[in-house]
Amino acid sequence: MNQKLERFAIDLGNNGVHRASLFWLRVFVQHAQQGVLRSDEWVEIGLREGSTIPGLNVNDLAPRLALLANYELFQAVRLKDQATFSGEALASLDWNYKYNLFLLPDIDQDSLVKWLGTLWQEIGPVSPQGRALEKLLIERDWLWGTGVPDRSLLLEILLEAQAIYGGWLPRPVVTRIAHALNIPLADVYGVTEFYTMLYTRPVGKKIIRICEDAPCAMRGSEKVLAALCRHLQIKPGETTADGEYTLEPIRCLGLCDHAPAALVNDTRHFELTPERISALLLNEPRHSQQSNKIGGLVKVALANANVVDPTSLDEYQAQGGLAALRKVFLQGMTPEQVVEIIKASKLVGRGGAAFPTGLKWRLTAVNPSTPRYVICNADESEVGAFKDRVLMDTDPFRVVEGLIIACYAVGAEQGFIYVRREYYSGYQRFRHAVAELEKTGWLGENIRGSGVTCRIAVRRGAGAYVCGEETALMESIEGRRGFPRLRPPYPTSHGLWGRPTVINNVETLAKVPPIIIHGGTWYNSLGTKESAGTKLFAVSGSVKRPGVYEVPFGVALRHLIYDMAGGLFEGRELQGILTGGAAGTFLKPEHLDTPLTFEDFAQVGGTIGAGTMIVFDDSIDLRDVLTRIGQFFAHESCGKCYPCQIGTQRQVEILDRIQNGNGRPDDVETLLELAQVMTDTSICGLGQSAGWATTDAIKRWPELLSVAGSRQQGSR
Amino acid sequence: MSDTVTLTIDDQIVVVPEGTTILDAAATVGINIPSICYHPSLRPPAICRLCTVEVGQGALQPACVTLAVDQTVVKTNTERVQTAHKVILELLGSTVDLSDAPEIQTYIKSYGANPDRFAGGVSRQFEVLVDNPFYIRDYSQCVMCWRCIQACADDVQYTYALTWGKRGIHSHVATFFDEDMPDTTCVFCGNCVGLCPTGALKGLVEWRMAHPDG
Repeated sequence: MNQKLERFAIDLGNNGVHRASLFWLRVFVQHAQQGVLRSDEWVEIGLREGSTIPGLNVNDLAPRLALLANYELFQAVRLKDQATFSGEALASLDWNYKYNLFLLPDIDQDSLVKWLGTLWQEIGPVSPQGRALEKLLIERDWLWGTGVPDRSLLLEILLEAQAIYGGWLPRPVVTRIAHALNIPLADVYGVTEFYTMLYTRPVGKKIIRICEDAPCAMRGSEKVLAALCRHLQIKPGETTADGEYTLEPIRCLGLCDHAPAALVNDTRHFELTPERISALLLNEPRHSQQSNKIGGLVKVALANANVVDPTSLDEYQAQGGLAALRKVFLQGMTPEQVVEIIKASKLVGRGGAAFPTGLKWRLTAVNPSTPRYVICNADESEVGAFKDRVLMDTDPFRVVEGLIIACYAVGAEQGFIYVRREYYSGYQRFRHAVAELEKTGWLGENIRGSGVTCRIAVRRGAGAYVCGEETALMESIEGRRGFPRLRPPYPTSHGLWGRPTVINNVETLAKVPPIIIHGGTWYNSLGTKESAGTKLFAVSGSVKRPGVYEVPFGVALRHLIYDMAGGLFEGRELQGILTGGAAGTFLKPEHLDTPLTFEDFAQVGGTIGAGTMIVFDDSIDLRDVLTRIGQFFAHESCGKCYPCQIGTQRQVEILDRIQNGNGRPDDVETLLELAQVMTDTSICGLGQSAGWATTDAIKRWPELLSVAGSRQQGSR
Repeated sequence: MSDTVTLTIDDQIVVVPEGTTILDAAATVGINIPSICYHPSLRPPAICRLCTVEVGQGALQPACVTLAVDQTVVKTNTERVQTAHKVILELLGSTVDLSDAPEIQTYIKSYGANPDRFAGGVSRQFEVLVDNPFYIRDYSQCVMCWRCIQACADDVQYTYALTWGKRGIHSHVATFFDEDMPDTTCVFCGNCVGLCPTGALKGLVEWRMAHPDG
C-alpha cells in the first residue's frame, strides 16, 4: 500500500488523527468521479451522511482540514481562476470559493476503495469512547429515574462520561452532552465549574485525594501530603508529568473514624502515615473498605450494622427487614395512619435541623399539587460527620425501606436518593438495594398487588458540601449548579421542579421501619420527654475508639466520649469538644456530665445537630482547628450571596493571620461582627453558620484569638 | 379593604396593595433601601443582601423579595441593619474595584464603611477582555449581581451565552470554556451592558476613550 496511506492508518491507530478524517476520506472516495469531486458537494454529502452516525461531529472542521493538508493525498483547483493548491496550503483554503478536489495521481482510487473498506470495518468513524458516550446518551440508566426531565440527568451523565474519557471531560464531550440533553452550552459549563469532582482538564490516572480537615489534620494528614509531594515531585493540586497521579487536598471525606484518610479514585485508604505512602501510590490498601467501629446502648438504626450482609436482601429479611413494608402495604395501612405513627413517635430530622418528621410529611401530603417527591439526603459532607456513611454502607435496605414508606405516606411515586460523590460504596449499596427491591417486586408499579407505585432513583453529587442544603440539593438533582434557593417558599410546597417535596436525612429514614413495626410510643419512650428516641453520634478526634455510637437521648456526654469512644490517650487531658460539626459549638470539660438531649445541650450552648462530636485533647492547637473550619466554609461557599461569598474568605484570612502571629488588635472584634452579619444576612445555613465555631471559641476561650494569646501560643 | 396591607416602616404608616415588596412599599413613602443586585426589569436574585431589613423581631429579610405583610413593623435603620449593610459594603469594597460604581461608593460613604478593614486578601483580578467590536468585559470591576447572566438567559434575551465560573470567592461571570464572545451564542443585543451597575461591562467606544492604547 501507498506510504502516505500507511502513515494515515498509523495516525488513526494512535489517535494522532481524528476518526472523522476517515469518514471524510470515505465520503470523497465513494462519490468522486475519476478521482475528482467538487468541494461543495463533498461537504454537503458529508454533512448529510455524517449526521446519521452517532457520535460523529461532522460540523467539526478540523478533521476535514487535517485530511486535506497532512497526508499529501489531494490537490485543489479553484473554479474561479484555476489556481492550484496542495500540501499545507489546503489547510487555509478560503471556503467561500468552490474547488475541484483531485486525488493525486499516485493514489489509485480502486485500491483505495478496498483499503478503506477494511479500515472502516476495523476502526469506524467513531472512537470506542465516542461509541460508549452515545450508548450512555441513548440508553441512560433506569436507576437515575423514569419520567424526569432530561436536564435532571446532567450530573450523572457528566460523571459517567468523565469515567469513559479517562477522568475528565474534553470540550467536544461537554458540547455533545449539552446538545443531547438540550441544555445551553454555557449552562453545562457552569455546572462543570461548580462541582469540584468534575474536570475539564486532563487529570492523572490515579487521583489521590487527601483530607485536610481538622479530624484528619490532627492525626497528621499534612505530613502524608508532604511526603507524597516529595515523592511525586509535584505540588498539591498538580498532576505528574507522566499523567499517572493527580494530588488533591480535599475537604472532609467523612472517614474521620479512620483519620487520616484518603481516596485514590474510589478506593478508601485509612490511617495513613508518611512511611506508608506506597499503598496509596499502588492503590492497594491493606484493610477492608468497610471497617466500621460501631457501638452504643441500643440498636434501632444500627440493628443490622456489621451483622447482616448489606448486599443480601435475604439476610435483611431474615433479620426482620421489610416487615414494616409488609405491614404498610399488605395490612392495608392508609397513608394517614403512617403519618400518624411517625408523628406519635416524635421523630425529628437527623440531618441537623431537627424539624419534626411527621409534620413535614403531613405538610407535603396535604398539599394538593402533584406529583410529589421524597428525597433521601445522603450528601453528608460536614466536617466530622460520618454516621450516614456507616448506615448506608452497612444497612442500605433499611434506608430504602424507610424511603418507600415515606413515599407512600405523602403520595409520591418517585423517590430520590442523593449521595455525595465521595461515598462511592454508599452509592453502589443503594443502587444494588434498589435493583434488588425492584427485582422482587417491592419497587415499581403496583407493588405486590397493592396498587401503589413507587420508583427510586439513585443520584450522585459531584463534590459540593452546599448540596447537603435541601434546596441546593434539589437544584443539583434538577441538573444545575448547587445554588440554594430563597426561602420561603419551602420544599413541602415548592420542592423539586416546584412540587411538594419531603427531604429526609439517611438516619431519619432508617428510623422509620422500626417505628412502623413497634409504634410511635415505643420509639419516643426511648429518649427523654423533649428528645424522643435514639441518636447516632459520630465521635472523632483525640479519642481511642472513634466511631458511630447509637444511644437513647439522655445519656451523659461523658459516657459517649469516655466509655464508648474509649476516652483520651494516656497522659492527655480534654481541652474541648466541637459539637454539631464545623457549624457547631464547643463544650469544655466541665460540660461532660451534660445529658445528650436537645434541651440540655441548648442550656450549656452545645449543638446536637447531626450528632457530630470532634474531641480535642490538650495537644491540639484550636486556632489551627478554627482556621481549617474557616477554610472548609470558604472552599464550600457557593458564591451566591455576598456575605457568604466574601465573608467566609475574609474570615479564614483573619484566622490565618492570627495563627501566624500577625493578628491585629481589632481582629477578634472584626470576626465577631463578621460572623453576626453572615448569620443575619446569608441565604442558607452554610453562610449563616460559617462563623459559629469561631464566635463560640472566642466565648469559651477569650484569650485564644487575641493578639496576646496568639503570641503566647505561637512561642510555645 | 382586603386587597391592601397596612404596615409600619420606620415609624411611618404605609398602605400598599397586597403583593407589594417591602422595597417598593418603602419607596412609596420616600424610604430608599439600598440594593445592588435588584433591578425592576429582572427577577430579583436577592443575593447582594444589602436591602436586608428587620421585620418584626425575627431575622433580617431581603426587602426586594419579602412581601409587605399586614400589621407588621419593618425597620430599615436599626443598629443591626446598619451593621449588616456596612459590613457587606466593606466586604465588597475589599474585593472589587468600585472606582466606576458611583452609586455603591455613595453607599459606602453614607454608611461610613471602611473596606480597608478587610483588605489584603483575595480580590477579583482579571484581565480586561476586549474580544468583540461592541463591548469590553472588565471582571475585576464585577460585583457578581448576576444581572448580565439573567438578562442573557430567561429574563430578557434567551441567548444563554453567560454562566458562572468556579464558586465561592472565586466565582465569576464566564462563557462556555471561556471562549471569546463572538464564538458564543451572544447576539450583541447590549442588554447586559445597559444593566451592569459598575464599569465591568462597557461600550468599546467609551472604553477606548479612556484606554487609547488598550
